[in-house]
Amino acid sequence: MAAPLTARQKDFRRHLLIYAGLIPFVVIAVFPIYWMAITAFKHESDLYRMDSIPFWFNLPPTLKNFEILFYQTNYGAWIVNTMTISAWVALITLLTAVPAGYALARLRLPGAENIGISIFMTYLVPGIILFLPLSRVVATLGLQDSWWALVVVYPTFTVPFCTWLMMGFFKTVPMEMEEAARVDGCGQFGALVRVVLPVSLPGVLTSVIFAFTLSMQDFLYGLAFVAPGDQKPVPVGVPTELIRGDVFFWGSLMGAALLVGLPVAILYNFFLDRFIQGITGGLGK
Amino acid sequence: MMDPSTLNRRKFLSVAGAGVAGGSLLTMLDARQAPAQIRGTTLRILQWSHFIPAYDAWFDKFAKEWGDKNGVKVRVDHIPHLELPARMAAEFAAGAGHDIIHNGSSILTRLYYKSLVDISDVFGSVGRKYGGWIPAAKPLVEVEGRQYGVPMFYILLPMLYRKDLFDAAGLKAPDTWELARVAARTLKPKGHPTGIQFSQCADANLNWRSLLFSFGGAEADASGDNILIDSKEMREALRFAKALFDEGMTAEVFSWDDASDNRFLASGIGCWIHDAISAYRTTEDTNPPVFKNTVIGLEPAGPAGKRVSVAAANVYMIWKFSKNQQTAKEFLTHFMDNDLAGMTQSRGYNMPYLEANYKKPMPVIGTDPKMQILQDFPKIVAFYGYPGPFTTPIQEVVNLYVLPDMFTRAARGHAIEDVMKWGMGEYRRIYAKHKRA
Repeated sequence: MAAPLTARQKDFRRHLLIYAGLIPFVVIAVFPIYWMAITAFKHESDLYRMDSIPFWFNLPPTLKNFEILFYQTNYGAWIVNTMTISAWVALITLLTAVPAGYALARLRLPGAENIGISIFMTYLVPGIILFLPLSRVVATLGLQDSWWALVVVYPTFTVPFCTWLMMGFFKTVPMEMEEAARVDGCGQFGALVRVVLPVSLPGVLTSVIFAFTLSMQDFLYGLAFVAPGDQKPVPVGVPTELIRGDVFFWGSLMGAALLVGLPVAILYNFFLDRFIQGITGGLGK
Repeated sequence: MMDPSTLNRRKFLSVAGAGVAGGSLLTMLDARQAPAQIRGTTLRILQWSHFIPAYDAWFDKFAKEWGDKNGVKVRVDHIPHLELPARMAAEFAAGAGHDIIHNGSSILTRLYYKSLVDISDVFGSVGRKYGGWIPAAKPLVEVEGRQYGVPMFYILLPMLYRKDLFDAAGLKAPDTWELARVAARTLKPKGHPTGIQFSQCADANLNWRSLLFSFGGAEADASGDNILIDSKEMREALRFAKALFDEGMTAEVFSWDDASDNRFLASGIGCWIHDAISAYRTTEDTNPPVFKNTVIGLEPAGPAGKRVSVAAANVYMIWKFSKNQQTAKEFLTHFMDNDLAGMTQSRGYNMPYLEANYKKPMPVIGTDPKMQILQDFPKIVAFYGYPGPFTTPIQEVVNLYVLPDMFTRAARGHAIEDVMKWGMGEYRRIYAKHKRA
């Protein structure tokens, strides 16, 4: 009969099982990024070799795909456009969603719950339906074919979601904290700024991250409202220049996605704890 | 004739003015000089990103040079071809946007004609100047006897086959669909299957129609009003496609998109594909041995010897909301005057619609021995809705991929009569909806 496992062995086995269970998820999550990275550095002819293993380089790595990206397209301008648009949208969203979420969660407004649900429902209307009426709005404002059009339309989907998110988060802040602040002489606004917002920072950060990334990944509005080559955001510019009819410039496409996606993923990682806290903060309320 | 006794000063000035204006217009057209009133205007053009990047560079420069010469500020924007309908819908809804808009593959003349400028004058004058348009051109842009667009070029989808593999197996060139099937059946066991998209993509719409029409089938009659899909020929085409799949393809074709067959050829696996020459051109860089051994073939003939090659049409239109309609017309005339230059810059990809431009040897394809066969396609080229026009119901049939879905169902093993019942139901439903509208 086998000797009983020691505590150390049991702990080792437990960890082994946990990591073994995690491996498939890690592979699924990381493989697309790995594939993107090696494709970005592969020669075009290396991508079509069926007689060799595709998971590594069969020809020496190349920077040609990045040369195409930076010297034959407006990629630099697209990155600047995307970051500027996303920053503006995040700011507008924050300035709108925080007071809206606070008002709906804390001010005991009649029908606040239903108003909150209604705001969230607007988030569920797909862009494919909204882009037609929004076209008229954009044209009336004279913003057609300028990336400012996207600064105007993106909040239509970031504000409802973030308002809902902030509502849930503000509900988790005990009323007593705010009441104590008011006893100490704060007004409604002072209590919000000095007490409620600091403890709601994970929620605010989550809203910023959501607004930023939702703006970065939109395709339809960018396509419908911005046509000039130097005004496009990355998600529209990249397929325009690198998918030509039925010809895909795979290496440059992957390089373009990698250069934008990787820094955001790393940045995301810095705020991961707060992000999870923000997402789960409103649960159960 | 006008009675001189009734000729007052106003009438005299009207008649004389019209005469001078008409004369000037004819002189300008003859001298290819745009009228002075377009000076100071702007022109915005929206079109696809051409598969040859150098073509876009040439076109942008060409348009700018024309603008500089005529005092017009020109801007050319490019977007992916599959996104043109969405952008067109946005501009239609906004009542603002580009002056000239490109339609590729999905030609939406009939959907938007009330919002498009009637450019029958440009269509007529260009046609007269260059020996007329090929017969398939007019139905693309004509609604109720007027032309709302200028056909600019079309893209052929010929047979691209691996001569080295065919020769090694002692196979004849795929000059008929039956020979293509024999080749696929023979070469698949040797590791070289064939493939056509059994999926919802533009190539599937084009390829399966080429097969159906070459088998003698049709979608609608010449008027475009009556559905003809319920035919013996359609059933034969479905049976053939099922056999072609079973004997010569692998299941990956169910997930293919427009670029999959390009990769299939470039990988060296495919024995033949039915696709645009972009697939052939790109192998020059991606797989030179495949490029060397790939041959372009004429459209395969059906059982009765008929050949119909369904091509991807490309058309320019002018929005009615454009404030620069005259400028847009002048540019389109200038562009069509340089039709063959465009063909050259596209490396033979852009096929002309004008009869005069078919004089052999044609630019690029006439001088390349492997591409010379493309010069014989204009006689057999057709577009969606053949033999009728590209009507609004056919546009919806195309955009919903009804025909490729019928072939896919057949390949997946549905009974032919069940496929026909489903397909006819879809065609009838769509036609009835548009008839009510």
